[in-house]
Amino acid sequence: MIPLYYYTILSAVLFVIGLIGFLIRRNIILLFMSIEVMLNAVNINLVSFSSYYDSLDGQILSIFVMAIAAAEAAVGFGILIAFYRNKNVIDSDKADLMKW
Amino acid sequence: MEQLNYLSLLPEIVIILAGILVIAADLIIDKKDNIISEVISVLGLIIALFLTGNQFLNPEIISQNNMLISDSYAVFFKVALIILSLMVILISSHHIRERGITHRAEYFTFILFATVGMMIMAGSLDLVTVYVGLELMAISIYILVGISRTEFLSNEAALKYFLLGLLATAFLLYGISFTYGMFGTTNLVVIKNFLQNNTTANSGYILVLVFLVIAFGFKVAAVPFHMWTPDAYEGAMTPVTGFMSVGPKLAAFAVLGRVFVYSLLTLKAEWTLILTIVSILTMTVGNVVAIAQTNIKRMLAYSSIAHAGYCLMGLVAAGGLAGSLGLQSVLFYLSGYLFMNVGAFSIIIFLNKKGISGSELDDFSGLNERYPGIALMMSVILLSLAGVPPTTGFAGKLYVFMAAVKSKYMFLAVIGVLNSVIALYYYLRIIVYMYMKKPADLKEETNRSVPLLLVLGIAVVAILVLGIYPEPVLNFAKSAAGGMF
Amino acid sequence: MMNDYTGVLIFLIIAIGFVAIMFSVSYVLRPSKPDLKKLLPYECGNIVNEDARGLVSVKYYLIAIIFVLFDVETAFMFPWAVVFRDFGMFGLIEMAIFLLIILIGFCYAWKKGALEWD
Repeated sequence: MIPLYYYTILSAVLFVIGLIGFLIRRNIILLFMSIEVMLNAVNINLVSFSSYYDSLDGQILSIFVMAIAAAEAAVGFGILIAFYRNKNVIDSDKADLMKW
Repeated sequence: MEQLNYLSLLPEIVIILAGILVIAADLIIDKKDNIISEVISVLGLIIALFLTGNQFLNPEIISQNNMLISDSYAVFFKVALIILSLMVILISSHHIRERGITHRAEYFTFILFATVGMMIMAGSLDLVTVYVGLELMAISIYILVGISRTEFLSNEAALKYFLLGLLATAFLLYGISFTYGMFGTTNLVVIKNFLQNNTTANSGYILVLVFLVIAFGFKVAAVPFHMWTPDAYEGAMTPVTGFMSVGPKLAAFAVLGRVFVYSLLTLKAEWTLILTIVSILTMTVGNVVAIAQTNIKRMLAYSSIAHAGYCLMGLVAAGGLAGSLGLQSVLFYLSGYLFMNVGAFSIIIFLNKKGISGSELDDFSGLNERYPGIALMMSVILLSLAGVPPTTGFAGKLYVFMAAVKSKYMFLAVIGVLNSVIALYYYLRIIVYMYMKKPADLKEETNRSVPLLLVLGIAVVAILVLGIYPEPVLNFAKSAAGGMF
Repeated sequence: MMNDYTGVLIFLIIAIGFVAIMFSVSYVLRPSKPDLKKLLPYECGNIVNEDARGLVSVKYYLIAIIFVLFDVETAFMFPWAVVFRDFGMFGLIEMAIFLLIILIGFCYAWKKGALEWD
C-alpha cells in the first residue's frame, strides 16, 4: 500500500509545474496546457483521497473537473481563434492594447 | 434518489429552458432583426422571479443529496441576480444591434446561463455545486466578454479574463481537493459540524482558506488578484461590463458568506485576518488608482474593486462580534451596488456613439447642456457610488462601517471612511465635467431606446428609495443573514 | 520476497537485456556506410516532404475542440451506463434530456457554420 502523502506530493509537484509553466510561458496554447497540468494535479488529489476515504465523491468530482475543463478549453480555443484572426499570433505578449 | 427534488430547482430549470428555447428559436426563425430572443428571455426570467419569490414563502428545502438549499439567504441573492439579468437584457437589446453583433441569440442565452450558474452558487450547500455553478457562470461570461469577435479590444479582454479566470479555477479546485482530503466530504453542513466537534488546530486548514480566498478573490476582484478587472471591463461590450461587474460579485460574496461565515465560522480567527488585509488593500488600491483613469469604464472598474473592499470589510465584521449584522450589511450593500452599477453603465450605453465606445471622460463634458435629465441621473448615481446621503451608497456604507465598529475593527472603519473621501474626488470630477465644461460635440447620436431609459429610471429610483427607506430590503437581508449563524 | 511482481521484473530485465545485446551485436558486426537517403526517417517508404515539427494551423483546433467537447461528454455516460438498471425510466429520461441539450448545441454549431474549414 502506497502511503497517501506520496500522492499529495506528486500532486503538489504537478501543480507547481503547471503554475510555473503558466507564469513563464508566452504561447497561449502552452498556457492552456499548463492549466490542464494543474487540473490533473487536482484530479490526482481527488482520486487518491477518494480511495483513502473509500468514498466515491472525489472520483465523481474528478469526472466533473475533466468535463468542465474540456468545455473551458473549447471556449478558450474559440477566444484564441478570434484573437488569431485579428492578430495572426498566439503570444500572450501581443495582448497589449490596454494597460493600467 | 429520494433526495432529488426538482421543485426547489424550478427557477433555474425555467431559465435554462428559456435559454435553450432562445437558441432553438434562432435556428428556426430566419427573419432578420426579430426580438424573439429578448421576449423569451424576459418571460423566462419573470416566471423564474415569481417562482423564487414562492420559495421565499415556503419553508427552506435542502435537496439534490444535500447539495442545494433554498433558504432566504439563497433567495435574497437569486432575486437580486434575476433582477440584474432582466435589467441587463433590457439595456442590451438596442445596443447589440448598434454594435452589429451577429450572434444575438447566443448573447441572450449566455446571459441566462450565467444567471443560472450564479443562482446555483448562491443556493449551494456543497463545494461541488459551488464549482459547477461557478464554471457555468465563468464560461458564459468569457464568451460574453469576447462576443464582438472582430474587435481587438474585445478579443484581448476575453483572453485576459479567460486566462486569469482559468488560473482562479485551478486554485479553487486545489482548495476543494484539500477540503475533501481534510474532512472527507465537500458538504458545508458536515464540515461545519466536524469543525465544531473537533477543535484541534490543523495547519492544513490555513492552506484551504488561502486557496479559497485566492479563488474567490479573483471573482470579486479583490486586490492582489484584480489585474484582469480594468482590461476586461474596458474591452467588453458595455452591457456585458454592467453584468460582469455585479453578477459574479454577488455570487462570489454569496459563496464567501456561505463557506466562511456559515461553514468555517470556527476558523474565524484565521480568515478574518486574511480578509482584513485583503479588504484594506482592495479599498485603497481601487480608490487610489481610480483617480488616474480617464476612461469611465476603467474608472468604474477600479471603483468596483474598491466596493468589493467595502463588502469584504462587512464580511470581516461578520466573523467578529457583529455577527449577522455584518453579513446583513454586506447583503444590503450589494443590493444597492447592483442598481448603482447597472445605472452607471446604462448611461455609458446611452452616450455610446456608433463605433466609438463613448466612455471617455471628455464624452461627459457639458452633458448638462445636452441632456439635463441624463446629467441629473448620472449625478445621483455618482453621488451614490461616492456614498453621499440620501442614497443607497451612503446607507450601505453606513451599515458596513457600523458593523465594523461593532466588531471592534475601528481601524478598518477609519480606513474605509478615508477611502470614501478619496473616492469622492474622482466621482465628483465627472460631475464637474458634466456641469462646468463646455460640450465637445453637439451633434451626436445617442441610444434612446425605451427599455434602456426605463432601466435607467428604475435604477435611479431604486437608489433613492433604498437610501431613504431601506427597511424592507434591510429586513430581508436581516432574515437572510440571520439564517447563516 | 517472491511476489506477483518479481516475474514482471525478471521479464523486464530479460527484455531490455535481449534488445541491448541484439543492438550491440549488430552495431559491432555490420558495415557502416551512411548516406543521405539512409539517414532519412522511415515513413512507410514514402519520400519525406516536410519537417515533422511543423506548426499546425490554428484552424485545426476549431475542429479539434468540437470533437473534444462531444467526446468528453461520454465521461458522464459511462457511470450512467454502469448503474442504468438501478435508475430505470428516471435515468433514461435524465440522459435523454442531457443528450437533447447537447444535440441542440450541435445543431446550432452546424447551422452557424462552425464545422466548415474557412
